[in-house]
Amino acid sequence: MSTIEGRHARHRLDEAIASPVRLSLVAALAQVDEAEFAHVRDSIEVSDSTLSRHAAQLEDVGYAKIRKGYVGKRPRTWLSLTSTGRAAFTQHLAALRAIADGL
Amino acid sequence: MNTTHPEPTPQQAHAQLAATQTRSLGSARDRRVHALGTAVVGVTIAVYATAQTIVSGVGEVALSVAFFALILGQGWWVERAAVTVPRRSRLISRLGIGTSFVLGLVAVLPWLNLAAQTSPTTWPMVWAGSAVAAVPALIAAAVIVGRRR
Repeated sequence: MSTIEGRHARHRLDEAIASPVRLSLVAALAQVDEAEFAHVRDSIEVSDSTLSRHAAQLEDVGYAKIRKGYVGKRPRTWLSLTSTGRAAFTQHLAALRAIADGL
Repeated sequence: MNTTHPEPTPQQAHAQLAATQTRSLGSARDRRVHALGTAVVGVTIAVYATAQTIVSGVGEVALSVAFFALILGQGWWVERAAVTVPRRSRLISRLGIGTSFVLGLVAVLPWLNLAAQTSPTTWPMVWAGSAVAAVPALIAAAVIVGRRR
């Protein structure tokens, strides 16, 4: 049996970002400090409601931050990853790489 | 272990890894917006700090109004024009602007004040002082625009 630090890599997969949409969302947000909601929605190709739901789930576990504000009279929502979210994403990617490499 | 999402096979893990690298949210345009904003604020702060030594009365009020209008306008424009904040650009921007501010305060202003004791401060001296104080912000702007991510 292949192990990393005594545990199989699958144990280090993070359920909070394992869903395809949340993985795409976290991967997208990891590239920037902050991104506007509509830009993220278009980039990862999901609906407003889907993005809202998944962003809220990430916020609930402390992985993402949702900032609402205005630019002129237009409401704008900004999404970002917290440092905890970045660390979780890094660990999740490492686990995926280990599984992909058959470790 | 993950219970909602079954353990991926190596092929699925490969596919998930590939999916995380498909599209980039960041853009060169957003980097340019943040870099321009940083440069404008840095130069504005440098000119404002040094020009105060040469203007007075109505000129000083006009300078202050222009200064605050530019700073607020820049913040509004960057927030409106950019759809992302490129990685670490906010930190780099604040470092550059902060260093410009401190440099103006601890080096350029004392130099202008010292020079004013022997002869009146001239606009070329103000521009020279502003140019020096603006350097850190301009470097920060160049770093932001030159970063890949």
